[in-house]
Amino acid sequence: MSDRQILLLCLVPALLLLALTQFYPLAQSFYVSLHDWTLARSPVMGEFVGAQNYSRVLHDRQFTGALWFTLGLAAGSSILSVLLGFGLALLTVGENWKLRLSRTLLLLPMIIAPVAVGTVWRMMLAARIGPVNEALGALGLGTPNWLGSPGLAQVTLTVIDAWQWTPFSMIVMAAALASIPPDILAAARMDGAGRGLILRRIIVPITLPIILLVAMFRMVDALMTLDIVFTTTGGGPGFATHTLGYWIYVQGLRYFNISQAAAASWLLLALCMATAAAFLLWRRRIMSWQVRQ
Amino acid sequence: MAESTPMPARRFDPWPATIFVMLAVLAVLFLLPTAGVVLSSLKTTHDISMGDLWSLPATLYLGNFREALSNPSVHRYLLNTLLVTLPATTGSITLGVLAGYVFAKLPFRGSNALFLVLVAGMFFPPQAILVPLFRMFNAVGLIDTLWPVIVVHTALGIPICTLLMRNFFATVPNALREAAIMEGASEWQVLTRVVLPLSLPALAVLAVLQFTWIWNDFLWPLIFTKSDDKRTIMIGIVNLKGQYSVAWGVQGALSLVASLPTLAVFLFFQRYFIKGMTMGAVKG
Repeated sequence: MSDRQILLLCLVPALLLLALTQFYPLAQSFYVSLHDWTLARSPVMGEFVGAQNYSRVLHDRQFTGALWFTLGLAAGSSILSVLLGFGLALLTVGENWKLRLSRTLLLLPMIIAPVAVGTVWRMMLAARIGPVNEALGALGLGTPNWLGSPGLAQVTLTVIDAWQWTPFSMIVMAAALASIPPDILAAARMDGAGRGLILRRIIVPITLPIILLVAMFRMVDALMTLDIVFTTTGGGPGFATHTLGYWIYVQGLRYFNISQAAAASWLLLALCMATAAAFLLWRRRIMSWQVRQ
Repeated sequence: MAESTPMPARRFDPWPATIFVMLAVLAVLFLLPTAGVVLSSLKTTHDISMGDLWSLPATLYLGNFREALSNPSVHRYLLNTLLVTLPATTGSITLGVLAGYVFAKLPFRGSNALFLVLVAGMFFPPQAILVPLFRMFNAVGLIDTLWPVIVVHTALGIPICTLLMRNFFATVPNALREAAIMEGASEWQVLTRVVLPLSLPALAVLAVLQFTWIWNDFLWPLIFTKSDDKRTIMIGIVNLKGQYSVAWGVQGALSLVASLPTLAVFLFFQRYFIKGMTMGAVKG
C-alpha cells in the first residue's frame, strides 16, 4: 500500500468518530423533532406530527425574541472580537518581556474558569456597589443598571462575550501574522513603504483568509451562546437575554419538552450552516479577486 | 505660494492621544474582571458578601487557597480533567493534521465535498446532540466514566483542527513538496519534515485552543458523569457554590488554581506562534 493510500485511510477514524458522535445523534434529534414528545408527560415518544413542532416554535414570541437577540449578539460580538483581536495581535507581536507579559494578560479572559468570570462580571456591574458604577457616579455620569434593564443587558452580554473570546481571535491572528514570510516585509520596508501601507497592502491581504475564518468561527460560536447567559443574567430581565441556546436549554432540560427543543436545535443548526456557507462563499469571492489582482 | 501662512511648528495631531486613551480604557476593561477573580481569592467570603470585593486587601489572606487545595476531591477533579484533556487534545489535533494534509495536498475526487461534511461538524449546536449521545453512551454502559467525555471532545475538535491545518498547509508551496518527493522523500517525510515544521504556528495555536476549551468545558462532564470521583474541575468549582451557600473566596481561589495548567500550556507554546514575526514584520 502506498503512503498516499495510508494517509487517505487516516481519514476513516476521523469520519467514523464524527458519524458516531454528531451525525447519528443529529439524525435522531431530527426524528424526534417530527414527533410529539414531552418527557414530563410520557417516557416514550408520541405520535408523528410532521412540521408542527417547527411551526409552533416559529410562532413562539419568546423564540423569535431570542432569535433577534442572538443575531444581534453574534454580529456585535464577532465584529468586536475580530477587530480587537487583530489589533491586539498586531500590537503585541514581538519577543521582549513586556510584549510577552501583555500577551499573557490579554489571554486571561479566555483561560480563567468561565464560571468565575460570570460571577465577577456580575459583581463588577452590580447596580449600586459595583466599581464601574461607583466610578461613573463619581464622574457624574449616572449609574446605569447594566444587567437589570432589558436593552442594556443585551448590550452588556454582547460585550462580555466579545471580551471572553477576543483572545481567541488574537492568538489565531498572531499565528497568521507569524506565517507571513519575513522577507516580503523586509523588501517592502527597503522600498520605503510606511507602516500603514505595509498593513493595508501586505499584512491584511495575506491574512485575510484567516481573518474571515476567525470571523466565521466566532459568529457561529456566538450563535450558540449559552454559558454566559447562565452565569450572568439567567436569561432576564424577563426574557430579554434569552439566546437561542438558552431557550433550547430551558425547553429541553427544564420543561422536558424534548420534541420542541429538537425542532429549535435544528432551526439553530440551519442558521449556523447558512452563516458558515455565506462566509465561505464570501471568502472564495474575495480570494479569487485577490488572485486576479 | 510664498504668501501662504507658514506651517505652525507643531500641528496638533489628535490621533496618538485618542489611541492612547482608547487603549487605556480597553486595558482596564480587559483586566478588571480578571483582577476581580484575583481579589476575591484573597478575601474571606464574609468580606465579599459585605460588598468589599474591590478594595486592595490590607493583609494577605491565603485561607481560600488552603481550603481549596487541602480538599482531596479537588485533587481528584484536577487529575480527572487532565485525564480528559490530554488524550482529547492530542487525539483531535493528530486526526486534524492528517485530514488537513490530505485535503490540502492530496485532493481526490469528491474530497471537497467530504471536507465540507467534516467541517460541518463545527456548526452543530451541542443541544441538538446532547440527549441522543447520552442515550447512546448509556446503552454501552459508559455513563459515569471519563470515556464519553474524551470521545466527544476528540470528535468535536476534529472540524476546527482540520479546517485550520488545511488552511495553513495550503500556504506551503506545492513546489516544496514536489521537490522533496523528487529527491526520494515519502509522503510521510514530506508531512513531518517539510510541511509540518512550516506550520508550527498553527499547531501551537491549536494546542493552546483545544487544551483551553476542553479543560474549561463544563457541559459534557456534567452530562456524562455523576459520581464525585469522576467529576472535572469546572464542575468542582460550581459545586463549591452549592456546598456552602456561596463560597466566593474559595471559588475565586480554585478558579485561579484551575487556570494555571492552561496558562502553562500557553506560555510554553507561544514561542512558536510569535517566532516568525520577530524576524521582521511589524517590529518597532
